[in-house]
Amino acid sequence: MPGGPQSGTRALLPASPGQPRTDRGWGPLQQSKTLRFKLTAYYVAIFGALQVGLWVLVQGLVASHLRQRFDTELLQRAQGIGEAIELDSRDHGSLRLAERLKGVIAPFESQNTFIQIRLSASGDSVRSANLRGFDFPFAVVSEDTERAPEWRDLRGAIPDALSGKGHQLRLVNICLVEHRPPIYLQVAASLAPLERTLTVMQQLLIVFIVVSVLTAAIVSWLLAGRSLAPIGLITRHARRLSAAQLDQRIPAAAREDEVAEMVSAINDMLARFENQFKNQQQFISNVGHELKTPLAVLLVELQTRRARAAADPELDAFFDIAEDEVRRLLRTVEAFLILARARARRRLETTAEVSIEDVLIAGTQHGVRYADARNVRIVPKFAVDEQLSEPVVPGDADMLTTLIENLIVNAVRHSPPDEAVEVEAVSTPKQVQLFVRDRGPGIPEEHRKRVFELFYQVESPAGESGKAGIGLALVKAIAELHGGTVSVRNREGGGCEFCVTLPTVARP
Amino acid sequence: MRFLIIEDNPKLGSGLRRALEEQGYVVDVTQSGHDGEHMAAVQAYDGIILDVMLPDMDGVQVCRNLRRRKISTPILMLTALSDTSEKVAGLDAGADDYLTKPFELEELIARVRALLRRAQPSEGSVLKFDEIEMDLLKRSVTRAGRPISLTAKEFALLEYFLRNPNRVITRTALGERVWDMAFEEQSNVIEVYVSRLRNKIDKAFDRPLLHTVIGTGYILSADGPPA
Repeated sequence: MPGGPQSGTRALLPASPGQPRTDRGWGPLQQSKTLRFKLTAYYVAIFGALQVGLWVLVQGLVASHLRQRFDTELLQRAQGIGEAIELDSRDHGSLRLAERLKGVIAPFESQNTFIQIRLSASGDSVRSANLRGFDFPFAVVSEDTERAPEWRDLRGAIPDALSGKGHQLRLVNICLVEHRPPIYLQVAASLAPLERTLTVMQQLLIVFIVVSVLTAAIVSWLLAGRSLAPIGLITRHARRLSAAQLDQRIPAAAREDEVAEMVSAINDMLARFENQFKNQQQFISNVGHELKTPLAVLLVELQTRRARAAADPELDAFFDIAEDEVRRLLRTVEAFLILARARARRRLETTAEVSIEDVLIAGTQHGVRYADARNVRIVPKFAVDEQLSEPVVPGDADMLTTLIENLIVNAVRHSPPDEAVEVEAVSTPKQVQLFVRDRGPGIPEEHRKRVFELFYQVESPAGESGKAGIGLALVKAIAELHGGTVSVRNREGGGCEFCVTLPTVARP
Repeated sequence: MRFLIIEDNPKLGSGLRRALEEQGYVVDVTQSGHDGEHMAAVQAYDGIILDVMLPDMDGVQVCRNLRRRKISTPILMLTALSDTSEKVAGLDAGADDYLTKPFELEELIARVRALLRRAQPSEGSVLKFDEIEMDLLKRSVTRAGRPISLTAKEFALLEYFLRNPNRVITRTALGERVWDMAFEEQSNVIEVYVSRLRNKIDKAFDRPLLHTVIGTGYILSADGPPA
């Protein structure tokens, strides 16, 4: 026998009550989305950081280069001025100097250059007109200043008119006449053009960085999406796979990469599952056959022989008991087989069109004997629409009959004598509802959710024993194999109402 | 009446044989599908009881082979599991009915009787009343030449009316004869089936044939309900 005894034992075990479903609200699809987001975010962050670093470096280099050029130019300009005025120490204090200077300085003024010649001995200075009387700060820091040019950035206290609003002036001091008292030439130019260049460059770089980071984000989002797409596909396929269609596989991608490898690994796994599942189904089928055949033989033997033994009341009683017990055993075996199959798959594989009304009457017929013994009446009813359409369920007639029969037997068991058990089929276009109503004690709230659990039992009246609490679990299993649901509620005026909802097929 | 039982379990086979023999049938039993097929081909049986699970051959295959050889003996299939696929396969292969093991002997005998009755309708194969014609062999119904499609129960219901025309038939009688069951008074099962049948055979025609006799039952009559 395939499958081995162990797996079979497991298959026949009842479902543990309240077993948690593995479905959760969020699944791999959302996870892959998050993964896509994360990948993109990491990539953009790294790319952005590199870009910013590069920007800082470039900006720094360019700025220092431009400054150097600016300084060189300024110094050249100052030296040019120095040469042009051809000062010597005799010029000190003379009016001639001022006169001469004006002529020399004038052409430079137009170039946005500010010039001041400081005669350190007298403290007098001669300055270009565009300085408008502003006195450049001056301090001879050391003796070296006399020889080397001294650089200074002027900010703050400069009138806006000189530098342009908020900008700096670059000032160079050079010593024109080194003999005591020395004469200094102070030449300054606004840094505004340089700063404007730098600002423009900065703006361009920022635009460039923003554009490139955005591009990187879009590209990496798309790339991540593309490389994660097979995962979404695998997820969707894996979701659709159920025990009823284990022969399905995830379609392999055309390319050969890690994902394709994973798909092939999953498909191998599915193949193993399918194999095992088939073995198990075969095993259930075999067990069913092995258990039921001897009982079927026994039942036929008992029934053929009892006709001849009818005269003897003692033997008759024996046959009654034997037949009943064999039937019960058969029902139990059948119930366990259905429960085992219901646990293994969600829907029936093969179905026939079953008239729910025929099934309802067949179930009633089976229940009548049981009901008569207790003086309970069974009242089957159909609630039909105007078209009088007949509800047809894709399914298994025997199983559905068992479902109705179990509900009826359950209702009769809890019904007081001389009361009616109502069995009603209510059909709507897409589904049919089967109601079984009794006038028994009803089911207390705390039991209501658990009555469909295997081996769960609400105490039955008159201390009846021998019922193992299989019937309603079987009802639920059969309903679910047909894609339906079961529920129970208490009726007004006492008793309870079981409702089985089954999807129907449209019949023309 | 001669019956063939193809059943691999010898105990069940002999039990069935005894049961059928007690009903007055002559019964042959074989445990092999091949032998069974051969026997059914060379000897005219009135009915075959065929197990689906046979050691040498699938019962469905036996059924298919017999039908292919134009042997139309009614076949009652026995399926081990209440597995719909087996039943559907069996019926597709040409079996006339199936019974799931284990079964009640009474039910088996009832099914066997029904099978034989269907195969050999005792009083002619066509029932007629007014414009309605029912072919029991083809299981078809026409009114004024127009075919009417009925479900199995509707067919049985109409058959009973056609066998008892111009007679008031009570609900109790209908329940007992058509469903083999006494319906409670509050049950509307019979009303629903009758109105559905009436919908099919009367609605499209100007002259109704199936009438309600208030408080009593129904009547199939060309002249309307009795006053």
